[in-house]
Amino acid sequence: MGSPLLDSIQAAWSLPGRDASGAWDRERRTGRDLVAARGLPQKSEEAWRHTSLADLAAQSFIPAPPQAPLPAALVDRLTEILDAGDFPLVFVDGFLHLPGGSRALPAGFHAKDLRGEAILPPVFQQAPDSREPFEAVNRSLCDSAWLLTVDEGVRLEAPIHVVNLHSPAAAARMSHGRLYLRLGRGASLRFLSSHLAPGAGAPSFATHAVRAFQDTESRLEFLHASAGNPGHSGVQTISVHQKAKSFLDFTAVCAGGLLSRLSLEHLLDGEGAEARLRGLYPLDGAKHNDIHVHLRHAAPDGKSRQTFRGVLDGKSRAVFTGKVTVDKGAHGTDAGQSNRTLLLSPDARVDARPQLEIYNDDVKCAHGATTGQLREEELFYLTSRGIPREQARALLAAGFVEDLLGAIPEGRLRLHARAWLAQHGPSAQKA
Amino acid sequence: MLEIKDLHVETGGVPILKGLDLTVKAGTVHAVMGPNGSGKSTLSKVVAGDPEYAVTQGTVTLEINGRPKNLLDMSPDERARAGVFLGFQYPVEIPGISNTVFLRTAFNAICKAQGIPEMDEAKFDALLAEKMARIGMKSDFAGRAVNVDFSGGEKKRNEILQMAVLGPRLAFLDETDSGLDVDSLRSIGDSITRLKHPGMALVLITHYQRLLDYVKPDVIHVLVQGRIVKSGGPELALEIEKNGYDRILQAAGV
Ligand SMILES: Nc1ncnc2c1ncn2[C@@H]1O[C@H](COP(=O)(O)OP(=O)(O)OP(=O)(O)O)[C@@H](O)[C@H]1O
Ligand SMILES: [Mg+2]
Repeated sequence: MGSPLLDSIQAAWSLPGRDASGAWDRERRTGRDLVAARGLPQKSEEAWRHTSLADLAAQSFIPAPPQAPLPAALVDRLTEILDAGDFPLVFVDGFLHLPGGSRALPAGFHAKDLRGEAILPPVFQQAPDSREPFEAVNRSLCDSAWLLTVDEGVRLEAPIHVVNLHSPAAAARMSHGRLYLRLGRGASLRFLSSHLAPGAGAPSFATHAVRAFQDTESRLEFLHASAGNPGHSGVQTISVHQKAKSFLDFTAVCAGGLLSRLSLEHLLDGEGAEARLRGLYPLDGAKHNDIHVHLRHAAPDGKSRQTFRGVLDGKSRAVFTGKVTVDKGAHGTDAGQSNRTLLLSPDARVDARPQLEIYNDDVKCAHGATTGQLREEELFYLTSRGIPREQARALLAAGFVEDLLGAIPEGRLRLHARAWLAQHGPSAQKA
Repeated sequence: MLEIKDLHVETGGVPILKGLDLTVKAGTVHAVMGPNGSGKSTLSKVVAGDPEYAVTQGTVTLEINGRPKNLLDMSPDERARAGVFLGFQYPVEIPGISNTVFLRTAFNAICKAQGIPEMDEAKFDALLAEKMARIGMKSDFAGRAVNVDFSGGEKKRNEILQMAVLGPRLAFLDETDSGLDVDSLRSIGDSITRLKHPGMALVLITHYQRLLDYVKPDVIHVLVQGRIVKSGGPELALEIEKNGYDRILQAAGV
């Protein structure tokens, strides 16, 4: 059961110089207990059947140290990522980095270091622990843990942008950042979470976890964007717990990495809660991306829509698992999920599995997964206008992606998603 | 300008065109009529280069820069850049690509092939806006995804817009008149007439006289079971409208 990766995780637990206290310390201890009990995922586990952990598990990592000041290369990356209208919170290797002249937080929004908090707000204990083994790893090791709060009734217009940078280094390093996000009753927030591991491809490993709680009638628009260099393994877990009549609009744009995994865990736990999830995984080269969704309807009259799309070129590899559970008491549930993957090359591969678990008769559930090539009919239409075939292919692939990006309702998040793919996505998407 | 000789075409092993001959001179308008399923759309798609159809016999020759060229040796995009245009009977929906991006890409591909400098976004936007106004299309169609959620008539109008922007020398318009209301029919008929020029050959595929009231044809052909069985002047269309195809079929012995 042991592996160099697990050894490095356990070694990091006992490293000196990382003072733990308060709520943060309690979280880390709970994480350690979970990791000790569960270990790392095994190949036999259904949720990890198609993504091989063998390469990652054979590597050793040391925790990345805090960096001050920031290397110039990373500062440049930050400027590329951040929009002037965003309110930035920058984490480098898991540590909060306070840029010079940082602005005051918007009114009604709070960011607190859990190190200084005696307890974690109890709302975060209402949802079950994450099922993602790496979420437990993250919890056990988190270099820092922050609590972000939007007060009751506060509606924030400008997006809060959390940037997670993994700095390139010669030594194999790992980092683990963790956020708790709480929206009060009737609060609304636009939230961007970017994960970038720039560099040439030296081995690195990062986990990140967001645990979000949406109180009654709150509204969250959330964009998750990730990109890793060819040597980077990144595992991100996002758990959202929604109360009655709350609304979530979530988009993930994943540009992949050596190993890239996004676990989404959604709990619709109040009457009339609604979640719209969309995700994109455009990959080329030898990139990998795995999206694992588990959405659970636990209360009546909930509505969920999931649209996930991939475009795979080269020898890229994608996994999509979408599981929807409808509990016994969740009458009047309306759930839909669709997953489509375009294969642009014969060497690309996707494993897609939609799954439904319904313990209730009074539900509407539609789901489906398709995998295919570009349609000849569409290619002919474009080429019949004079567009060369290769360019027509690229245009159609870009259209397949844009069709989904165009559905992001909030303008700034939409622009950011487009810019992210233009910068970090495969060249086919840059048309 | 276009010469088709003894054309045999099949798809999935089923023969559709069975020895078709057609010659169209520059500056003339031809109409192709014929019963459903006789092979009219197939003919237009083969000229445009649809890989769905296999040519088993015959030639399709287009005069390019004063020299006859075998179209069958060229890919669909090469043909389009040489001036071939097909107005589809069923225009295809392309999600996620705006009309503007689609047409600018096509326009610039043609510029590039002709050694003309490509047009920048702003200039092309202006050109497109002008063409759209002439064709009678509202400006918001520029930003909408190609044909997605367009009505039947709007799709047909969009085909004519593409023709207006790309300026072909040989155009096949496949049932551009079906699905149009009376006012649209007139305005599209007028648009097509305006796009005509002496260096261009135009082939209209239609079931009715109504479009021909606006775009006057020089020659009418009747296509039946994969062959042209009769050709004549504009009066032939009126006769078909009145009497149907029975007499023509009998006379041709099919
Ligand atoms: N891709 C294809 N696969 C199989 N059969 C086809 C295909 N395309 C055309 N056909 C058949 O070939 C014949 C001719 O079709 P085509 O579309 O050319 O007819 P048409 O003359 O345009 O008819 P309409 O007036 O109804 O538009 C029909 O019987 C049709 O079913
Ligand atoms: Mg037809």
